[in-house]
Amino acid sequence: MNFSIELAPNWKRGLTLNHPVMIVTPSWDSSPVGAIVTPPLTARLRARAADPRVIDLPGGFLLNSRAANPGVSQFVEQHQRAWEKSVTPIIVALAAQAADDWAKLAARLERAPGVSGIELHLNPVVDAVSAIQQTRAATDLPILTKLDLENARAIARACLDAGANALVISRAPRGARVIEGKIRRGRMYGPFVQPMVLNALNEIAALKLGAPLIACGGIHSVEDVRAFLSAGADAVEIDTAQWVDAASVARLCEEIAGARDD
Amino acid sequence: MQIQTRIIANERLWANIQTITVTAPDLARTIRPGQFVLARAPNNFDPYLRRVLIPLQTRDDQIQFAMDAADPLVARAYPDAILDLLAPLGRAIHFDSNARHILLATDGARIAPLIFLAHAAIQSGRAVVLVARQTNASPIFPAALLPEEIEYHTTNENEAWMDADALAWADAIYACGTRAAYRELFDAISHARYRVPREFARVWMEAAMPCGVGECFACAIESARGFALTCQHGPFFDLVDI
Repeated sequence: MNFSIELAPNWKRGLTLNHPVMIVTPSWDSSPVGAIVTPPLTARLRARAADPRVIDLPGGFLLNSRAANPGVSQFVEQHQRAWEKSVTPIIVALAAQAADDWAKLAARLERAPGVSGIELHLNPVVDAVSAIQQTRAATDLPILTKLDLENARAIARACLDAGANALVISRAPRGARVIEGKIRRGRMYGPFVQPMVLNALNEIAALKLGAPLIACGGIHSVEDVRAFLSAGADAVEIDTAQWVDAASVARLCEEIAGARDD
Repeated sequence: MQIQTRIIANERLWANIQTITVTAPDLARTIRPGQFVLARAPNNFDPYLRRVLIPLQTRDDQIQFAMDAADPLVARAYPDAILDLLAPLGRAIHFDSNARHILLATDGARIAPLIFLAHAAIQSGRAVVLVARQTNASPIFPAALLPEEIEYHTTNENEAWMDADALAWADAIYACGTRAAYRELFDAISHARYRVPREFARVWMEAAMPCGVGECFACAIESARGFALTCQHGPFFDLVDI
């Protein structure tokens, strides 16, 4: 297993991971990880969603947060001091509220100290090629593109052609539940997501696009990490598992680091 | 901190409030009013997310928490089982040294966060009045379940939540209710005291808190001070900001 993973090969600014596990969190200091990825940030403050924002599912949950966040500037100001000192690469995730936000967001991060890369959160409504081209024009930072499960395979090649350095597969799948007679939509999280993501990842790996692939979805154990790496991922991202059991995620990272040392 | 605790008891307190008592010596010493914990049954993904437990009281090395009686975790929290806690979370309440009269207010069944506050206020020699308003959805909380030092007043939906005398008596107010009730509280304080001073009234913001540590933004609220997270900056917020 290769533990020096370059997510932006052949690009002027590299993004090298010394561990295949990336953690989605504003801060992480309890165990070795390959990179820290922030929650998705928008150009301006994004207001909270209507309740209920969190709906239980068997073995998981549906989250309708509308990607609420304080806006990229406030978030960067809050964390940049820690990022500057971080030996772990910091990747800032971005989502757009308007079609022309991408360049502004990228330009904001281009001058933010301690930022090693950008992760674009796309969905089928967003013009992926335009989003990546705008971002690429505004920054030399490595660009990871987080695809929606619904169209990941269809647009994977176009994203790389537009300037993305690596693909993240995938954003959490969409789902809905009826609560008190009203349909509530959101994105689904939990271990049950893993087979869907594994399938999409494997299909995209079969395209042999020549770019790093990062798997994200339903990862809760060392076995899960190994399954994704064997299915074609170069690295993995862990998000909700650390909310549920941060200690076990820390142990997972230690175990993988130990396997490298052995 | 993430800790494993052993469950001592799992009992229905009243209406939809279940109590879970655990042994957790360090946490029993450090947890403060205004804070909460997130709990899950280890090695189990049903329910997947951690659940919010609100401390009711501490006794020696034990803590009694309140939680929603309908929550699926209740069925897994049987005596002698292990409960995995992420704690303490949220911003602790510290009483101002000049605040000797503490007014607690609940609108309906939302009372659990006030009980731990009441114990702390009484233990520090403060006078405590609790005003509970009965709603269609919730009967009045039984007085027998409260510390006997509390002066307990009740109202109903057709009456004002708090009268001017209570608002004039109070040095500090802590309330649990709906946003509509908080608007009513703001208006009542403005009327009785001419203005609502900062740090005079604090209100509990009910929110789902999947991560508890400011990572998921699911518990975001917009306050007068901008973007805030219930799990990190609350759950008690200054009424002026809400």
